[in-house]
Amino acid sequence: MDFRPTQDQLALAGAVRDVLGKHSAPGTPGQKAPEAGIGGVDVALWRDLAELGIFGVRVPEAGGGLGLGHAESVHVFEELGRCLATGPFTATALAAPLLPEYAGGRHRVGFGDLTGGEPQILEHLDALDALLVVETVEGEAPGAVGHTQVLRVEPIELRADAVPHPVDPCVPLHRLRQKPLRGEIVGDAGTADALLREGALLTAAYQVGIAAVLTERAVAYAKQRTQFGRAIGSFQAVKHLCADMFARAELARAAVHSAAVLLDDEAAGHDGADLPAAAAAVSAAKLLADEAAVTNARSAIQVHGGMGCTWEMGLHFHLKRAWALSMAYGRAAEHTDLISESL
Amino acid sequence: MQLRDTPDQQRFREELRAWLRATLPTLDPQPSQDDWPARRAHDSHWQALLHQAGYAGLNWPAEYGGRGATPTEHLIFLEESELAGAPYVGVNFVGLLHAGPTLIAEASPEQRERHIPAILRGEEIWCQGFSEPDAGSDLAALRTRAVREGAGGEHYVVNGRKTWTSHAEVADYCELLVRTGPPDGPKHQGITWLIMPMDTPGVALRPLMTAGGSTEFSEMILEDVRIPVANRVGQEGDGWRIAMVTFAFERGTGFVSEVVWARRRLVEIAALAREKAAWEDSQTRRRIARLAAEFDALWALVKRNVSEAEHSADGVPGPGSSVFKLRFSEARQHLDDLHAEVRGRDALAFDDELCTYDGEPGYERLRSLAYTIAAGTSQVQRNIIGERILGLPKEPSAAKGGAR
Repeated sequence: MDFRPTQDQLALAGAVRDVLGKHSAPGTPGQKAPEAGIGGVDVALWRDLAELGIFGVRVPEAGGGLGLGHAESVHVFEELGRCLATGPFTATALAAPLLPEYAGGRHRVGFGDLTGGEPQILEHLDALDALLVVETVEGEAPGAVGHTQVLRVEPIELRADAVPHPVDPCVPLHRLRQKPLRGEIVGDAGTADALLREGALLTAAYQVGIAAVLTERAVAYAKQRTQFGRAIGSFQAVKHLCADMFARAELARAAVHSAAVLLDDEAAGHDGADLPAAAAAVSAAKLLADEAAVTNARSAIQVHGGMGCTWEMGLHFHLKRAWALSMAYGRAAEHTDLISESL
Repeated sequence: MQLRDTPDQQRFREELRAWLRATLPTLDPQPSQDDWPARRAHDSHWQALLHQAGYAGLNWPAEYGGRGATPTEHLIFLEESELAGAPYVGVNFVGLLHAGPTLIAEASPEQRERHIPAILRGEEIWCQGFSEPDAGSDLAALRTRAVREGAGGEHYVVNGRKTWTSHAEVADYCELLVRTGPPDGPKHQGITWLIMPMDTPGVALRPLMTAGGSTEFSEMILEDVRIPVANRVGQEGDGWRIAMVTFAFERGTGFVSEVVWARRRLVEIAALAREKAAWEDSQTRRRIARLAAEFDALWALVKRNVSEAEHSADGVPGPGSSVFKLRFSEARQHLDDLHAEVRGRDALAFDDELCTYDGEPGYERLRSLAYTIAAGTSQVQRNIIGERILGLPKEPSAAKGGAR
């Protein structure tokens, strides 16, 4: 056992961080209110990250990828989260090992989970080259149990309405008003399960990035801001808020790393008798990471006081993204139910 | 980043499993929590068995009679022992987890020779004389006085009062922190670490009964207790630094077995909930699942901390141990509350007269009250994270002020 990130994993994360540092990130202080339509994919950032190979992390080298595992992917996605990188990163990274033409990042792939009964909201629809959809098909005979499958859909053929004001101003949304969808079947129920699980893991890693960067921002502000003649970070009420933020991010990161390693082990066929099941570990990671991102966003705003609530301080971008991601690839109720089945 | 055993670790685990399988059935059942002589006999016997098998002082250096095992092997030992239902460290807690490592790091060769082998064989029981009625979280405010006396100043004469002295009833020695400096001097200086034989005249004990009804802790009254200067560990006035060495070890591994225990207890609670139909209540079911996620994450954090300790220069657990202590203590309390909720009104009826045996849910629930207090309160842990890890400024009053 050596649960520390390897030098290669840290180097990969460092390379992603360097690229992200060359582009402006939503949520940095001093940002003006966005004009209509400002959100969406930062094409230059997407291109630079694609060149680094982040979409082919788990694609075999023979297929033009990096031939690595989930343990590396989560390092990439934590960095994306730290900078609130905007675009269908998760879905494209999920599609690449499934459909190798997406490994190079030349296409943008979206994701929709239509298995639930709620109205479908799709992200970044106008910027997509393809859309993967998980759906449940009704059985042919009345009352027959349906089956789940993965469909590849041409985004341009979809009937959908743009949402005028998405909560997260960076992520354009569309409401789907079409069912059933037409497309090519690219995977069965097993593929669908794997996509949802891996999507939950990458989203959890992204949320850890949000939780960690917000801890740093809150701490920096608490050291610099003075009230009653001293830095507010010297007051225990504020210090303990920051300590809890740190603890949340650290615990969530340990859960994400553990889930990534267990998924890789499971894929490699290692005997996991002494280890918790990978699926439950991913759900645990998603639960803790969602909590960490959302709660740390609230705490960061609290530490910043009134300024925390303003547009220009930028913390609302993190909160809004954390809210949105906590509803992606399974929400708390679904993941807790999944864990409870393993008990 | 990987979690699997290396071939060496796997061999270690398998040998240990086989030994536990063969040895545990030979043990007598755990005695009652209040039968101190029986507890001492039971725990000492277990320690002697560990010693014969080469598992005593697992992570201690081989030159001091330990096995010199890596932090990961130590973790495997704690995990497998707990999974197999082996006895806890029990009355050997202070000797093995506090005093022993401190003596190895700081004591003279004669002191080590005298105590370390006896601790490893389970022949010498230690207790801790750190906290005082007026010095708890603010340990450096301790006031128990030690004054040099005798023609050549060969004795300390100690007067004062200590509290939370676990296992004092059966201890042979006490790791004692006393004030040798002036009472109004800088409080972190002037503290000295002494080895006190418990049969020294002037040592009196008053058991403190916990809310759970056990007599786990004692108050210890010291009246003109004469302790030879030769029993001092390190320099006079250097006791605070020496005590801090001890705490780093305690936070690192002190609770590891309990995560394994808690995770198994959670599976029992889930089974009980299914039996009692509490499982149908989605709120209860989800709270159980959420807690399982928390304990699995804590276990992952332990592995992260152990991996870092294994590759650090000094082998002392890093700051991640404060995060672990903070979150584990709170999760442990939720676990006991949830258990009571699933049991319903049964949780109000104790089946044991004094309700003081390990694992009895009512007793565990009351015992867990202390988790967020003992070994550094949750508030102290948050200060450690805030100040030492995040670099936030200290409270202005904490830096100054004398012992009073």
